[in-house]
Amino acid sequence: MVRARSLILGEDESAPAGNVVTVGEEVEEIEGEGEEDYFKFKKCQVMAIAKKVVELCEEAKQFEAEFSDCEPTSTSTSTTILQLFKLLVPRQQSQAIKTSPKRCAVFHNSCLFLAHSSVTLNPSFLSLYPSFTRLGCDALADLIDGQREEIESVVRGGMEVSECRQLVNGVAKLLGGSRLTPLASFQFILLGAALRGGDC
Amino acid sequence: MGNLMVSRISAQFSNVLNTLHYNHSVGKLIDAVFGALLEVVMMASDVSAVACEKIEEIFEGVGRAGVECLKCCCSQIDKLEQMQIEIARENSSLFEKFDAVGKFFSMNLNMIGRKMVEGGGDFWRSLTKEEMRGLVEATFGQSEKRDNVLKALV
Repeated sequence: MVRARSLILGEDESAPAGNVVTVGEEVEEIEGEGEEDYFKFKKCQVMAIAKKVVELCEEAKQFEAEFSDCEPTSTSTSTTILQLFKLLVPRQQSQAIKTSPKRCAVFHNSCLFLAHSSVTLNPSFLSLYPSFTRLGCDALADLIDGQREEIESVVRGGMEVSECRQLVNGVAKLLGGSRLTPLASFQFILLGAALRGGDC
Repeated sequence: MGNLMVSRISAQFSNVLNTLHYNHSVGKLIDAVFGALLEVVMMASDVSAVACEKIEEIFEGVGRAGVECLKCCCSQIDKLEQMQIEIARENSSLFEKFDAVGKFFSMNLNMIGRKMVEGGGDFWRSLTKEEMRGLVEATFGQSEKRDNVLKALV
């Protein structure tokens, strides 16, 4: 547990918080028929911490199997390590997850990887699956919502449109202060956008 | 600028997320660009012929750039474009509407009337009657032809 805690808190030098590793398998997609195997974890990048956490869980599982006749339960060391990740990492890296698309995507993948691993470690850990998937998907959805708002505000009121508005105002001044009609304003905005190569 | 932002974010997602999650996430970002542009165009009450050409040009460029941001695994080059459009339809809720509005501005009343007689199929599916009426009224001046198209819409 001490090893797990220092690993999750980024104190373990073998797996710094920002490091990523590739996990999973290449899943071939058959055209028109979807994916080949739904039960394989698709190849993607996850936090190095997440991979180490799974390794620690496997170690703990083996240790428990050696010293106990019972099957691992929901109160076993493995589940506690997984719960520790779920509680500490979102707090520890909250700023990066909220602001960096790459870090957020890696965190999302890590959560899905741990959800998948928790079930493959032991089917009795199934209760952890939805909480991990929700954690990862919510983080990515929040980031996407934030980025969407930013994109919308840039497209609606960004530099290019402001330039066009300034152009419209400039022309209005030249015309003796008379205001342009909405149609003329619209044409100027579109003209400005077209001059930039069709990228608004 | 919007597309530039989408491509910058999608580049960060590119090697990290798997194709399914990547296309789903980038599709939502593309929708933000499509939505903002559609809002401007749908609000216009009077659009000249010159503006129509510009809108068509912009919509084509932005639409193409959006589609190219999505990942498409297709081995056959002749089917690539079709597959890309299919993926855009699946992941962007505004793609069809954006495409239809862009194409609308390349049409004259005869073509619109013909499309309506033929049923239009997928083309008009994404636009409501009110939206179509608004576009026709903003783009074409009062005429018998326009009245016929508007009547056919009801």
